[in-house]
Amino acid sequence: MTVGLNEFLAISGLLFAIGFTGVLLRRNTLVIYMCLEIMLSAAILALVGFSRFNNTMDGNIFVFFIITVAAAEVAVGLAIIVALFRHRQTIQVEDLNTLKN
Amino acid sequence: MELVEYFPILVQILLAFVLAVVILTVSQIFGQKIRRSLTKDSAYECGIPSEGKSHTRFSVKFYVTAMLFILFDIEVVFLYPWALAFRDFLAAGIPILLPVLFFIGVIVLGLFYEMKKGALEWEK
Amino acid sequence: MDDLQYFKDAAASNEWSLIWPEISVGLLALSLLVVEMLVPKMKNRLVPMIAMIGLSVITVTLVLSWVGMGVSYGESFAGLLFQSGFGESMRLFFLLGGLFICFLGYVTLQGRAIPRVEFFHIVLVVTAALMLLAQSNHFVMIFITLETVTIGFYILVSYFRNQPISLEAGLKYLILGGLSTGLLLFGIALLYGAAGNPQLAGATAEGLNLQALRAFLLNHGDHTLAVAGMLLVLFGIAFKVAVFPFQIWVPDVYQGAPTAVTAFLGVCSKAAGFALMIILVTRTFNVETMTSITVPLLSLMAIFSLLYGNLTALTQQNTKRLMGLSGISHAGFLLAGVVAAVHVDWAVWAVVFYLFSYMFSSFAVFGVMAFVEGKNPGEGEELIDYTGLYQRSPFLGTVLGIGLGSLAGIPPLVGFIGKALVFIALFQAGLYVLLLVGALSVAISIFYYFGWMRTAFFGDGPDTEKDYPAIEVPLPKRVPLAIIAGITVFLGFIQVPLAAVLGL
Repeated sequence: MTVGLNEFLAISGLLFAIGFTGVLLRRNTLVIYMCLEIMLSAAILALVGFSRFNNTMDGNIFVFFIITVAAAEVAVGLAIIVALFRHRQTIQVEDLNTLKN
Repeated sequence: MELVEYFPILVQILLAFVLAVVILTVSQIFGQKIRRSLTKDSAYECGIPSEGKSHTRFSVKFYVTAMLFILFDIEVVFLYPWALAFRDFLAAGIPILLPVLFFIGVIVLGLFYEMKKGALEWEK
Repeated sequence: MDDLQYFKDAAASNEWSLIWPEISVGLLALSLLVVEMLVPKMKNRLVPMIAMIGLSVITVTLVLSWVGMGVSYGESFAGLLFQSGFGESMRLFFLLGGLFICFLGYVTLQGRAIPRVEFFHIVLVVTAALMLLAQSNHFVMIFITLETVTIGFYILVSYFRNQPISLEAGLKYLILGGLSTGLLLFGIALLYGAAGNPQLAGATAEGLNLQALRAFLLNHGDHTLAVAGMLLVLFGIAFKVAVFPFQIWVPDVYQGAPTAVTAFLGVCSKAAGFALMIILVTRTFNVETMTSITVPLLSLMAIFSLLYGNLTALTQQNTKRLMGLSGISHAGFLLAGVVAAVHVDWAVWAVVFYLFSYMFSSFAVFGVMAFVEGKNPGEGEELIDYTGLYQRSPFLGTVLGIGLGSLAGIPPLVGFIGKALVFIALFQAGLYVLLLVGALSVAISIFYYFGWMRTAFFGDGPDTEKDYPAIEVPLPKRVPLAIIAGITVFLGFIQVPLAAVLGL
């Protein structure tokens, strides 16, 4: 058996589905945030797979930028979550209900 | 790509697993044997019993430093390919040093800003 | 060695002068930090001034450079950017937007125990990224600029870090913004993969370049991966512009964010999304096999946005939420314009004109909101707080009236012209259903905009017993508001200056 493009895409699609359903279903903000990162990883894997099997370099280079952007997003996101936790002592989604009509 | 090519990875996984099992077993066999009791298992054998939660929170300072670390750590992602291409570019007469110096200059400015703001002072 | 030659050419063709406005805005942003480090005592007075004066100088120089040298046109930076009249006018749009947001920030941050320098720094960085976004021609460029904007907004929305309400809004924006980024990125990956497939005729190694991608899509626009990728990319952007099924975050985030940021989010972030929509829908995905999907899909989204935004705004009592919900219906109008632009070329300019008109009229309203609101979270944001505003401050009342009237599309204000242009474009494109829903939603929107105006002018709110203090606006702070309101009226009568800028 050889590992081809389809295997890359299958895993990438699976990761994307896991991340997406996780964002929609999970209640803990930190876990939701991890799921978002899984979605980014899925896109990275797809890009690397395509880049390898299509013999083009652009996808690999793009991954560098995605990693940087993801790091910046994590830094900002965790800062917000930590700051909110210090105020509310909870990061469960259902407890975040100050904003209502 | 044959699946066979992934054989070394399998070996590595097995090795890691076996090593962990071996270390645990060996320490179990040759280690000092103690009789277990309630007193022995408590955190402190003598003195007052411990109070409060066992999960002490990390200081918020830890998060700040960790976040700053992530940001500055990631810049290496760009420096590594730059270093790889350096010789070829220099030989071909393409300016490569100045652009990256500008990039690092911006980052150093950020570092100075951080220090000025006191984000890196552990004790305050 | 071919690759090296490529880089050699790229280094030799020195194109940095093409993006001097972006570079200047970026350096201005960095200089603010330096100013803070060098003169910490003066920073609260100096920094906003430097930011506003710097942006004004750049804006004026940009317009003068058009007069002097004309607008450059074509690809630059090896296909990363594409200079065009559209890109230039969006540059001006974002510069003006950033300038007014700096003013709003200066007003709303005064007297608060919160660092201020970072606000202006981030606003400037985001402005520079927005300007590049409108000219991008490559998915890497689009992704980087869009993420710079989005991450900047995460910080800005949760800027009042001592107020849980602001942090909560920031967290909600963070999660849904992250979700949209994930969709967009996966879509890009699929498009890139489809375009680079060596088994298909006309495969391109530069699948991330929009022109190369379009050349591929001309032959393979019905390729499954490509269609899935296109849909994911469009959905990702739909989150940012908040059109119908992707609008859930809007009311909460708009309410929790500081007012200056709400204005920034409502105007510039929305405009960025529509700039992308125009670049992608009308320049890249405009091949027949794809428009047969995008046109009905985007039309449906536009129709539902128009109805949803206006109907939910009808009963809204919080002004920030009201602006957010009515913003959804404006997004519906803009999306309708984008759909029309697939068929009618000049409709792109109708969308741009609508964006400008939306910017001026919403800034007039947000500017008034910044003066009416109190220092505590949620204070002075309800409709009741506007009771008798005209009697308490005739100046603010007038500006609010002009802004709301223009948003509702009352002639002769500029909002009317913007809506009329979109309607004409829809008519020419033969999209009669959209035209009908658009007209209906204008009628609905008049109810809540006029309800707000009635409260402000005649003060027949339910709570007239309460004493509302007069609001004093010092003269220097009146000037920007007066200019914005003046432009809103002026452009309603005479569109030539803006039309000349847009190249209509």
